[in-house]
Amino acid sequence: MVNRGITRRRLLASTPILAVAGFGLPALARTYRGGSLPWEPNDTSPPIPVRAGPWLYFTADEAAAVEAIADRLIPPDDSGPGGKQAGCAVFIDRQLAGSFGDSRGLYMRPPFANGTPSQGLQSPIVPKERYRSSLAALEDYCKTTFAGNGFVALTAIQQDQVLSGLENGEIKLKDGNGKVFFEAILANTIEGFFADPIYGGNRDMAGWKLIGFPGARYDYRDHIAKHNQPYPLPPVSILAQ
Amino acid sequence: MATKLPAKDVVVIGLGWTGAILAQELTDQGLDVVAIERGPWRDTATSFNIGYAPDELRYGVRLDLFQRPSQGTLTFRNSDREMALPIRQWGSFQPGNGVGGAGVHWGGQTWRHLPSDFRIRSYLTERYGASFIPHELSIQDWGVTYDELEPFYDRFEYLAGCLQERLNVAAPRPIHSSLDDRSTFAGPRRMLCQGRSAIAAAENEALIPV
Repeated sequence: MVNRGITRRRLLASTPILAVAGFGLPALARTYRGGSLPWEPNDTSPPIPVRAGPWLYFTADEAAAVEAIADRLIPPDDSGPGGKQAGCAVFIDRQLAGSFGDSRGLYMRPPFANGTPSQGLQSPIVPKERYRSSLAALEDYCKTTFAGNGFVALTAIQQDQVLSGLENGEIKLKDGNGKVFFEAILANTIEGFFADPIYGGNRDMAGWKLIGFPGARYDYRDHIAKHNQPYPLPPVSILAQ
Repeated sequence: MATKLPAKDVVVIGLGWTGAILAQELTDQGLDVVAIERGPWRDTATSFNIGYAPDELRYGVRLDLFQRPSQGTLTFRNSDREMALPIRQWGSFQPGNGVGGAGVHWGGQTWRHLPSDFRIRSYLTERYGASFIPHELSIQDWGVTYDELEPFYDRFEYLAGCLQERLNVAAPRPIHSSLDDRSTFAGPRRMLCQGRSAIAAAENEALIPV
């Protein structure tokens, strides 16, 4: 969780604008008696920005399917770009390649049993496995049902039919649970559309512009008393893009 | 091989709100105190750096500041007819981790218990009769009264920067210890941290029901 591999120098090098704004100023000095503490001054655990480049986890076919799904969940229209252009597939790819994809940190020891809805996550299948097996099963379903066409080749109406079928449980995928997969990719697409752009989605802060969210701003004191007035400043990312 | 550490007067296990206050009180008395905490050291400028503290995915969704269920979790069920299963991913219940404990996500609200809460068994019996309390229900009076605890509530609220004058101001009236008090949601305050002039001013502005 605390990434001690990141030095202050590297952090500052990657965040030049915030550094000027006082990023990483030390806390007020204080004295501790009795020896050293298990942390270093100015040690931080900043987010690690996603790098552009090839897919880290998805195959090209998987990525194309995820982009197509993201574009049906959040279609592009007059109000702005859709899920694909906003980078939702890149976001999900990077998430699956990291700790989220492995459910690292979650309690994943056996025995596994089916629980009630209120007992929450009980599956041994981690997200990266879920995506791989469900995307393969989805492709299989589409090719069987639509004369050899995979999900990407379907019309928007057909794609919506498939996604609706997954959502309401009418379409059973070979790998088990299409509804669980739908819920996962819906949640991750929404995360990708609205999480900070450092994670690869929300490109050009499209999600935040759409809903008028000011982003990673910290101090609203100058605006709190200005009732019924729109917040005047544009959204800003953690990296102050 | 076991490592023998220097002897201390007091060892505080868990440095959240409670442990931190204890440690402060004890060191103020001149005792040599060491605190033991599972998880990382936390410091405002680094762990809550304003550059990335608003990261909702990291903190609000992936729960970066909390205990990892892989470190330790618990099982639960909603009734004895169900099989208890481990909590694998936190939901509504999010235990803290590291220095500060669950205080890193406290909501800044410290509601006083009602005076009747401290004598809940007596209170329910007086109000509804002894048969109201089922045999298997083990609730008890606390053994400490609201009036005894009230100065410590006041002290904590001052320390934590909480003020409940909108809810219930006892002063300058004599304190009541029953639900007949104008209190609805929280026990009455004997004394406001900001002084009685602040209470009077608030009452004059009708912020407080008199």
